[in-house]
This record gives sequence, structure tokens and C-alpha cells, in this order.
Amino acid sequence: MRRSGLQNRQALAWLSCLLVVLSGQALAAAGLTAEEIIARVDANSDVQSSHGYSTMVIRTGRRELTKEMEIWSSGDNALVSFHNPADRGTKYLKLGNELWMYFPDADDLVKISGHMLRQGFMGSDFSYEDTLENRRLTDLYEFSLLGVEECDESECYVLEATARPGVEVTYARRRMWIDRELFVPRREELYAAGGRLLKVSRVERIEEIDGRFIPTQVTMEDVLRQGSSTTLFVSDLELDVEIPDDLFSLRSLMR
Amino acid sequence: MPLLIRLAVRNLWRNRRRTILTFGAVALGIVYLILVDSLLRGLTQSSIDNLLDFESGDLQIHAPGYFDEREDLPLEPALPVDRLINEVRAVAGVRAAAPRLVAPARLHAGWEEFPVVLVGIEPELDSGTLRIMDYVEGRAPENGAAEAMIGASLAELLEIGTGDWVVLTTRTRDGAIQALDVRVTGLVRTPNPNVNRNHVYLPLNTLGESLAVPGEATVIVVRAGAGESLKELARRVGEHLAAAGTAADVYTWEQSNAELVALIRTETVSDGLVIAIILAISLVGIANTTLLSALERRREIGTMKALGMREGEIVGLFLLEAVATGLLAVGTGFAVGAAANAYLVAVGMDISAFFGDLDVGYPVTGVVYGVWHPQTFVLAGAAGLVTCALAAYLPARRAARQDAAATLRP
Amino acid sequence: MALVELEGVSKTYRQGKLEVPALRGVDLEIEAGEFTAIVGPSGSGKTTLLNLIGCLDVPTAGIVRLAGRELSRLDRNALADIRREKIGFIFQSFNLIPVLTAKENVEFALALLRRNGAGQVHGEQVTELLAEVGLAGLENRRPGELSGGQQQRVAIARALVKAPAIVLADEPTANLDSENGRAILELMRAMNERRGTTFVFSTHDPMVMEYSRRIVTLQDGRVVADERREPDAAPHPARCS
Repeated sequence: MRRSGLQNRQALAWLSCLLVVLSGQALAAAGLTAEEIIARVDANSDVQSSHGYSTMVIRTGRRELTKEMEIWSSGDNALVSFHNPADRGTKYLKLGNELWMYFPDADDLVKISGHMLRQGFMGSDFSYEDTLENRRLTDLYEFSLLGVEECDESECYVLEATARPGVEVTYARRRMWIDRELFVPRREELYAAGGRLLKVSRVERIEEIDGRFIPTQVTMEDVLRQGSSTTLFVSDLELDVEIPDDLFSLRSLMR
Repeated sequence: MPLLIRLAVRNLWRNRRRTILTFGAVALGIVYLILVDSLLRGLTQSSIDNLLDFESGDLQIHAPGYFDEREDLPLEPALPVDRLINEVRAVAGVRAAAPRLVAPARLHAGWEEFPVVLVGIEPELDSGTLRIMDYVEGRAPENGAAEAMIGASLAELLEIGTGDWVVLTTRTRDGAIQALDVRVTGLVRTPNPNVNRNHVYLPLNTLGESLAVPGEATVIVVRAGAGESLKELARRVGEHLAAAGTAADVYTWEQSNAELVALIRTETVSDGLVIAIILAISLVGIANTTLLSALERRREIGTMKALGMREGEIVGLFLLEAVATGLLAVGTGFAVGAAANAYLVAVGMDISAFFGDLDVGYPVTGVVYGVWHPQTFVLAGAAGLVTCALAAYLPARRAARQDAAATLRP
Repeated sequence: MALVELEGVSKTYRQGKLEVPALRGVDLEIEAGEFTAIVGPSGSGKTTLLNLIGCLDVPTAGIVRLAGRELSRLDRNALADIRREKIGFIFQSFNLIPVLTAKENVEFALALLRRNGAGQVHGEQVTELLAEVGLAGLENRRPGELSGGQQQRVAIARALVKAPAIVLADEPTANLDSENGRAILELMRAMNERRGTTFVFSTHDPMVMEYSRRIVTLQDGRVVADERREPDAAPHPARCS
């Protein structure tokens, strides 16, 4: 139960990352610098709040697990409630920099901290700390534009992000493929400090919602774990909806 | 031989079978106590030896603040190796010292991954300090190379052999994920199962650079010269380092391994439990014997009372018989116990027969050897005798108090 | 002063809710050196009377004095001390200690005495005494290896070895055939005459009465007759080898 809760958090983290990174206005731009491209991505992902449903399929070796969840987000806060039978009632709450899990079977409220933040759930490659990434990527990394490449039948900017000195990041280096027209990342590679490729994420579907382009199907693959990947499907997404502030509270978690 | 003792001995002989049963129970108890105690002490000794020889050394020097966080194996605060190691080795009473950089990691093999402990070592210094190097199948990793030795149990679990490449993921000092591709140069098969199951050894400089803490160690392990008081030595090392202008805290292995120390203390309690069980068996056995004997000898007791024996003297006669049984049992128990213990000391016992691969908390695997502990003999003997006397007392007193006139009625 | 004095002695046993009177107001004096038989039917109180004199029991009412000491005032240890020093017992069923030899059984009584420093008889005298009761050469046999008559002789030696003030014999011949019984009686009378030891018997064996100088008859816990007489001349002297 606890494990699956952890997995759920990762999923949420992933989703919130996606929402932040992916929403953007289609804009044809030429001659942009790396910083300008990222600023565009950041600006396009400026979603005040959202509500939607998501399905997460986790493949580990021969096993496949499916999680159903409902997600609310607003600013730095997010709430995920699981609906699939195995995890029903399990909730995940992100309050700024804190992560909380609620397990209904044990009626147990757990704060995720320390080493637990580094754990990935269910063989998915999302870690809790990924979901805590509130800071803008430009605060954490220095970007450089490597060029333009064909990527999933689109033209993509290839950006390389290197951790700024003195800033603590999980991935020392990232490489991102940003759709030239939609300013939505289509692919991302995450690297270890020593340069080894750790994870690869691919956006497999992008939908236009309220005039923004939102990735609604993303697959993350852990390179170090053979046969392990996680796919997130997003549906019925509403943006900038009214969400009562008290939804993001420990009290609502236990409700 | 005084008549009363002759009487006691003949009474015991008269009920040979019962006497032998009682005597056997007590003797067996004593043998059991001696052997269990010997093995537990051996287990404790091996545990401590294995801990000290393969993991912790006698003393551990950490940077201030590390100790309280040590469960998490943080990379900071760390110690500067070059500045410290020679200072530490210069302290009188320090036999050897070696720096180690310890970090948590995951070892990836196929789609599985296992939590492991990365230990950065300087093979030259480490082999004079701990005994890992004596138990390497293959060779130690070379300084600066992407090489590692891994615990043999871990290797067997993951079906990894010498020459294979493995990937280790951990975190740099700044929290970034670091992945290390290293070639396995050797397997470490020590008597300490924790080491065999969990540890992966890399060259200190390779690991330090990978984790962004070059030239640093999270711990300097120290071995004391023979007969050194560890507390005293810890104090001296601490003062020496302070005088040399380095902030460092020195701990004894007992401070660093409170869990094992507590486990050993628990074991002392269970030792007491064993004694209690043995005493209980003896108590019931002797009490039963005395009770039966007293019932059978009702008329005889009446006669003795008629002859002018005081009740206390009759009780004394029964106690004499009980203690004689006890003495016989103690003697036999000592002889058999000593013989069996000599075997345990020389040949030992394979505890995996009891625990299998189960981790029972002791850093011990395979054969545990007994130890000689004369106090246990004294304790077992005294306990056996006192039990016999105690167990005989109540039934004897009851028998002695019986109305002589009634017991003598034909 | 008589050796044994009983004044208005009653003894009642309690069996469940039932009170069974064994003695009802017995007055009796026995002088030192007497050879007295207590006779009467079963249940007339003979054994109870002997037990009271022998400090194995205390009266429900009345006073028992032995050599001037009132027994009911004494605690159990003091009673044991009196039994050890002053009283010899001979039982119907001999009651020798089975794991000890004839000689050891006699020595046992002596050993108890010696521990109080009161013993005056030495080891070789035990052998002599056993010879005197007719057991020369049988000293090292255990009770199981002796006949009934021989066992009772050991018991007599055990009673006499500490030179007691009084020997109490409860039906001493009841488990013996008449020939052995007679021999035992003759032995006891010889001891009475030779050593001046006081003997008190309980019996309903007419043969015992033949040997007695005084016959006290009990019935329903009361003394109904107390007859002093010259005993019949013994047909044979006690066999002493």
C-alpha cells in the first residue's frame, strides 16, 4: 500500500512537471537563443490551476501495473487521489516543498522526506524529489542551443542544460528537444554527473486545450533498468479552473 | 564415612532409577548451560571480531556532525584525508589507521537493482587496518581505475563474477545522480555477512572524484595496539587532532554500534533465561524425587523421629541426599560439558544449520566457535546445587512434620 | 517420684467431624525398673497410652510427667531430645531402617545421641550388645536378610544401646511366631533384670502377660484393672550367646 502510494506521488510529480513544461503557445520563432526558447517554454507552461484525470501504466520487466488517478493543481500545490481498486483512497499532497501521503487502510499520514524522496516508485523513474522541482529550470541550469533536429516528424530545438555551479540538482545534465512551433518538449534525456544517460522521456501525444498545447501521453524509460518504463495518459484536462484553497490541506487529505 | 552420609548414599542407591533420572536432568541442564553459554559467548566474540575486523575497526574518526547523521551515510561533513591520516597514525597506541569514504548506492543488474554500501578504500592502508584484503577472491581495485570488489553473497545473488561490469548509482555531494560503470576485479568473501551482502569497494580516489568529494573520507578507522583502553585512546587521538588544528570527533566501536551492543546485552538476558529454565527443570525434578521419596519413607521418617531425630535433622538428611545428587550431577555435567565444549572450541558449530541465510542481527556467518569461560562452570555448578537444596527443602519439611504416631501405626 | 506419672490424661482424636475418645481420664504411675504390660482389647487405648508416655503425642487433657518433667509444656524439639536420650521404642513391625545393616541400625541411635555429646557407648560395645541379644555374626546383615525374630532383636539392641530410662514396646510379639515371641520376651526380661531398664508393653498376647510383673488393663480408654504379680518362672532363660 505504501509502495503504491509512493508510485502515485511520482506520477503526480511527473504530471505537474509536464503541465509546467508543456503548456505553451504555438509560436514560430527563429533565431532564438537557448534562454529565449526556455523562457518561451516557461511562459507557455504558466498554468494557474488545473484539474484532470490520468492513467499511469508502469512496466517492470514482464509485469504491468495500471494506476488511475484524479489530479488537482494550483500554483505549487497539487493533490492526487487514486481511483484504481488496489490504491483507492490513497492520496498524495504536494504543499510547496513538502510531500505527504495518506493511506486509508492504515489511516496513516506520512511525510516523505530524506532518503524517501530519492526513491522511485514501482520501477517508474519518477522520484519524489522530481515532483518537488518548483524552481524554474532556468534557475537551476545553464542552457545552450546545440542545434535543430528532426524529432517525431517535427522540427525541434536541441537544448543542453548544465547544472549551475553551487545549485543542487538531481540530474547534472539534461538534453531537451523542444518543438519549434509549439514550444513543447517532445523528448528529454537525463544524465548522471559522470555523463551517463539515466532516463529518457518521450511525448507521444500533444493536445490543444483552451488554446494551449499540452502533452497528454508521455513515456519515461529508465535506461539503467532493462524493460522498465512508465507511460502517463492525461484526459479531461481543464486549465485555470476554480479550485478551493482548502483542498490543498492535510485535513482534506484524510477526508 | 559418617553414618548419615552413608545413609544418604544408600537411600539414593535404593532408588537408583529415580536418582539417575533426577541426576540426569540436572547434569543435562548443566551441560546445556555450559554449551549454550559457550556458543553465545563465541557468537558475541565472533560478532565483535567480525565487526571490528571488517567494518568498524576499534575507533572511528568522523568530521563533527557526521556521527548523528551516520545512519544516512552522508558525504558531508567529511574529513580531509591527507591532513589527518598521518596525524592519527602518529598518536601513541594507534597501531593502524585507514580512511574510508562510505556512501549509499544502488547496484543495477538487468532490470533489478539492489541497495548497497559503497566503500572507498586505500587498499594499502586498509589492508593493514581491516582484514577485507585477506578475503578477496581476485584482486583489489587499482587507484584511479573504474574498478570494484563486491561482496560475494551480493555477487552470487546477482550472478556477477570477476571481470563483469556493473552500474552503480549514487548521489554526488551536491545531490546529483551519479552513475558509475565499474569492472569487478574481485569478490569479497569474509566471515562477516553484512560485508558479503552489502558492500562494494572502490578505490578511494575514484569514488571521491565521482562523488565530488576528492581527497575526503567520511571516516578514518583506527586499530589500537594490544591492551590499549579504547576510551583512553579515543581521548588521546581527539586531543592530538585538536592540537593539530583539525576538528574531528573520535568514537569507540561500542559508541558507533549501539545496536550490536544492545543485541549482545539482550543475549545476556537470554543467557539468564536459559539458566532459569535449567533451574526450573532441576527444581521440578528434585522436588518430585524428594516428594516421592518422602512418601515412600513415611514409616522410616516416623521411626527416625521416634529415635529422637529432630525435624530439622530429618530435613537435613533429605537435603543431604539432594545435594549429593546435585554434586554427582554437577561433576558429571562438568565432565561432559567440558568435553563437549572442547569440541565446540576446537571444531565449532555451523550456525547456518539453525538460521540458514536468515539475518539474525549478528555479523556472523558459518561456524561459531565456543569459548572457555570458567565462571560459567562455577555459576552452573552453584546453580545446580542451590536448586537441588531448594527443591528438596519443602517436601522434606513436609515429610518431617508428619505426625510420627500416625505414620508408625501398623 | 515415679518415673512415669499420668494424671487425668485424656486423648481425643478427631476423624473428620467425629471426635473419637481414645483415653478418658487415665491416672497411672510407673516406677523405674518395672516390667509392665498394658492389656486390653483392640481400640482400648493401649497404643495411645504408649505414644503419650513416649513423647510421640500430647494429651488432650491431663498431665504426663516423665522423670518429673511435664511433657505437655515442651516443644517438638525438646520432645525429640527426650525421645533420643530417655526412651527406647520397640515396634510391632520392627521398623528398622532398611538400607542400614543391623550394626548400623543400632549405631544410628547412638550417633544421634553422640551429636549431643551425651553418648557413652562406643562402637565395639554395639557389637557386644548385638552379641548379647543373640545376633553375633549377623551384624552386617541388612534387615531384609534377617528373620522377623532377628529383626526384633536388632530393634531391642537399638532401644537399649543408649541406656534409656524406659523402653516402650507396642505389641512386640504380634508379628512373630510363638517361639520367636517367647525368645524376645525372655530377652527383654533378661535385660530388665540385668540392666534395670524399665519396660512397658502393650499387648493382647497372653504369653506377654505371663512374663509381666504388673498388668494394667484398659477398656474404652479407662484403666479398669491394675494388677501386680510375681511373674511365672520363665521356662527358659533368655538365650544369650
